[in-house]
Order: sequence, then structure tokens, then C-alpha cells
Amino acid sequence: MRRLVPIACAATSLFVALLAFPFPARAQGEPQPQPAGVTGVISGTGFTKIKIAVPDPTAEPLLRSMASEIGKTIRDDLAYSGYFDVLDPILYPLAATSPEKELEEKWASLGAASVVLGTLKVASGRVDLRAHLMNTSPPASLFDRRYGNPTELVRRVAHQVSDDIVQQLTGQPGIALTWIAFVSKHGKGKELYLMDYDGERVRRITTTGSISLMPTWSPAAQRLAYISWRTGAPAIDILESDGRIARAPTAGGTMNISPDWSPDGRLIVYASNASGNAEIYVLDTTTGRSSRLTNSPAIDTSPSYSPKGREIAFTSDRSGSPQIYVMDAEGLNVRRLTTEDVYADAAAWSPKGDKLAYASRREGRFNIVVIDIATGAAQQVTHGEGNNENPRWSPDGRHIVFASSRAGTYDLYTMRADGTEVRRLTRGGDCYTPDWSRRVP
Amino acid sequence: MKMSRSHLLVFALVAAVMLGSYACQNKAKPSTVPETPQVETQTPPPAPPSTSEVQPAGEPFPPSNVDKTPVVEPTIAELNQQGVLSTVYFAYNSNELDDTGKATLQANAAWLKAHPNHIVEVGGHCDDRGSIGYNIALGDRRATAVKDYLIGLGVNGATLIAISYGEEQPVDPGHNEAAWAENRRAQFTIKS
Repeated sequence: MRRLVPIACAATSLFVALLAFPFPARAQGEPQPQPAGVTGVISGTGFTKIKIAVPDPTAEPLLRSMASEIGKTIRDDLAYSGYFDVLDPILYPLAATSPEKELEEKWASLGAASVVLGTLKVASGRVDLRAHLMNTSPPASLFDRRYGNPTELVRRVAHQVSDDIVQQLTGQPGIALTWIAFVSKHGKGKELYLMDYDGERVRRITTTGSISLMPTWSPAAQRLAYISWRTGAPAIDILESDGRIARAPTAGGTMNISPDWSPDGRLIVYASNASGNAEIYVLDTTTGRSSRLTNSPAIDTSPSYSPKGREIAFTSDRSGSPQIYVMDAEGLNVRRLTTEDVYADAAAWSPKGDKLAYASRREGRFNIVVIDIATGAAQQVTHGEGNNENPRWSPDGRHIVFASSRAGTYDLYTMRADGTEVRRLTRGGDCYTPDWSRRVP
Repeated sequence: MKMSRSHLLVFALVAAVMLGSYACQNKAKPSTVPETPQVETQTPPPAPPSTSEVQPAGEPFPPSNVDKTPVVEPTIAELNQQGVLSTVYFAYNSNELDDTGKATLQANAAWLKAHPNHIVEVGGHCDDRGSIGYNIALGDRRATAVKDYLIGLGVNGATLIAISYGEEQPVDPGHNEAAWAENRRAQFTIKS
């Protein structure tokens, strides 16, 4: 049996060590994310990327590795967002030798429409980063802010700067401060793990000694609902951000699985065999009462709330094979959405509510398909590289995280919603069922 | 796992306490640390940096619970070692019992009726060709089909617990027909 040490476990030890050692060890020890696939232009839009230069913040010699990590993190964030063409750092020294007199003109001479200049200091174990965003032509100061955090959270500071730049220059909120939750093998079971949206800072967040699956973020990104076998039968647990675990008071039976939160965080839709076979239920967490939404002798499972909470997508095999259906949030108006698939499951609603991503098995392999709900037009966005399953959307709807066995064992990847610009987030295998948090409140 | 009024109360209390603690935490945050970027520093003329700093939102899930509790090993009775209750197997994406499966269950039913004081788990399992989520429901359907068949043979249903493990506990982790056939099963575990 082939068994690789899950990267998540190795990274957990690293994280624990980080608490005991000052920052530079971490900066050197942590691998940087590497794009694993295609990079390039956004296809299908007329959007022109903003040319931006992000030199490393200036810093004393002892802080240069931290400054370098900040600069690289911001550049990676901006490039990943799809809104920016980040100038190659190898060009940046040319700005210093440019004959132009004004700072903005020096950067304009390199072709940068915007530039972020930073100054990094550390005092009492805290990062003190000044970031100044400027347009070069005509010269304009857009913001000049100071950012602080304990040094071990320096990447969060860089992500905050990135999100501020995205917001300032595009008017859209960024996603660099979001997280991805997932499960990975640990001991004989699977535990919940958390990482930043870029695959960095992986850490284990449960120790159940059991199997956990399918963590799902509450809308405020403060709780995770997931399936756990820790008491025997699969049931729904809720992990609070302080680490406490509570069992959701579901409808009964011996199987309560696949939780998803309503947009207001009050309801949890899930599948239960309380009535004898798998049906969709909704739990009101304020009253602890569950009500049943489906009634068929078939399997009904894998529910997903639409972003406004008015509809629920789910999987049913009432036609003979698993297919994606949509119904009103009260369980009425059930209609089948997938017709071209042999086997479809794990539907996830896009943040705008116009599309569903799901896993479709064709010719023995799973691939991710994105379907337009209004027209039914389906686009396969992964293509025959191992199995590709469990898609979930980024909060801006521009990216999809998913689990793929393309490298042999299952790891987590992201891609643009059209399937381009694939980025591998984990290495080492045995990572499953990711979910992307909404923006941090 | 029957829902009871006391469970509801406990859950409601826990939820209330948690909400309360969030509120307290929010209040306790130092007011000098704004959570959002400062609006007044936007689009200024070239100006000195503002004196207060922006702090990204806090970190959830502190790693406080790492490796404190040992992994719990399931207890397996000697009877399980002896294999007195045989495993039954299923066709792909099916919970139908074939003649072999029915014969196995008839033998199992005879043993169960002769030993009516045991509590027995019927674990429903799937191969890994299906999706993780759907397979949990399929495993439940297999376990339930076996339980129902045994009840039809006169076994006391109160002694049988049907539990799905989806594709999480393969007998053979391989990705081939032989492995898949081994993994599509209902497996008996005597619990007490």
C-alpha cells in the first residue's frame, strides 16, 4: 500500500515549531506556492490588467527576509487575483537608476501604472509595515497606511495590503485574507485542517481520532460544520473558532451528513436517514428543530444553499443514477438540472447564484463541470487528469478549489472558474473535501 | 441518536454561551486597533503615514488541541476475531442482495438468533469509484438492506445497528476490479 506522509501533518509540526522560534526560521522553512499549471491572460473578457510594481519593503538588514516574504506574498496575491500584471522584480533596480526626477516618473518609466512602496519595522514582536500605493501617471497618492500584527502573522499583513490594493484599484473586495478548510489523513482517521487561500500556513484544527469529512464554513467564517464518525454513526459536528466541538441536534437516525449553512447562518441543510433512507432536512439552529424537505425512496443528499437562500441544489438518484436537482428552500418545485451526465454529485453554488459547479463522472473519471442554471449550458473545466472532485467557489466567484488525484494521490488545487491557471495548494497527498471561506468579517 | 428535549436545551445553551462569548470578545478588543482600513487616509495629497495601524482580523482555531488526546482504538471482541458473522458483497452502485449474499445472511441470522444478547453493527461500505458524499448514503442503503433482510429472517432489529462508512474504510486500498469488489460490502462487528 502506497502511503505518503501527508504534507498537512508535516506542516503542522512546522507550525508548532513556529510558535517557539522567531520569525526568520519560518520564512526560510516554508515552501512558497508554485503555480502548477497554465498561467496567462484572462480568457473571454476585454479586461486590461493593471500594470503594478511591488518592490520588497525597505528594511534593516536583519528584517530583509521578512521584507522579501511580504513583497513576494503581495506580488503573488495580486497576480493570482487576475486583475494585475505584476512587473518582474528583476526590473525594479532600474527605477533607482532612472534619470527621471520624480519617484512616480521613475516607476512610470518601467511601465508601471501603479507602485506600492513599503517600509518595514519590527518592534516588540510586532510587524510595523507602512504601505504607500501610488499611481504613476499622472502622479497620485492613493493610500498611505500602516499595518500591524504579531510577527508570526506577517503573511496576514501582506494579504491585508493585497486586499486593500485590489479594493482601491478595482473597486472589488479581494480574497487574500480568506481560508480553505479541508480534511487530511491523520493516524487512522481524517482530521480537519486549515490553510490560507494560497496554500500556506497549513495547520490541523481537530484531534478527534476519528474520520471527519466535508467541512463547510459558516457565512461569517467563524464555524465549521462537518461530518464526524467520532461517536460511531456519521453525524454533524460544529467546530467553533475557539476549538470547541458541538454535536448538531439533527433529525435522528444513524446518518446525518453533508451540512451546508444558509446565507444568514441560522439554518443548516443536511441529509439524514431519520425516516429510513437519505432525505434532505433543514435544521433551525435557533430552535434545534429539523424539518424534512424531500420525500422519495431514492437517495437525496449533498445539499447546497443558493447564495440568497431561496433554493437548494442536491444530489438524487431517483432517476436511477446520481444527478443534480434544484428545489425551492421549502422543498417544492424539484427539477433536474443535469441531463448529460452519467453520475453527478457535490454541487456547489457560485456566489452570484448563476452557476453550479459539480463533479461529473464520465468514462470512469470525475471532472469538474460548471453549469449555467438559467440556460443549462454546461462547461467541463477539468480534463481527464486523474479524478477531480468536491469543487467549492472562492468568495469572489473567480476561482474554484477542488481535490484532484492528477499527481497520484489526492491533493488540493485551485483554478479560475473557466479551468485556466491551475495552482496546486498541497503536496504529499491525502487531502480531500475543501471549502473556501467567505471574506473575513 | 434520538433527539430529545434535553439535547435541544443543551444545544441552545451552548449556542447562547458561544454567542455571548463572541460578543464579549468583540467588546474586549482594544478600540485603538481599527479592523478596517482608515478611510481618511484615502486619496490624500502626499502626506506622512497615519499613526494608527490596520490589523487584519483575528485568527480562528488556535492550535491548542493538538495531540492532547490519544487516538482511540476500537475494541473488537474475540468473536469478531473468529469471524462468526460473514461479510456480504454487492454489485457496483447497488444494494441488491444476490443469492450468495442471502445465503451468507441466512447463516448469520442463525447465529444471531442463537446469540440474541449481542449488539451487532452492520457497517455499509463502498468502493472509491463513487463520490465521497453520495457513497455515504449508498453505504447506508447497503447496511439498511442487510439489516432489513435479517429482520425478515427473524433477527431482533433492536440488536442491529446499521452504520455507513462510505468509502472511508476500504479492505483493499487498490484501484482495480478485485479491490473494488472486496470493498463493496456490509461487514459485521459485534459491539457487545
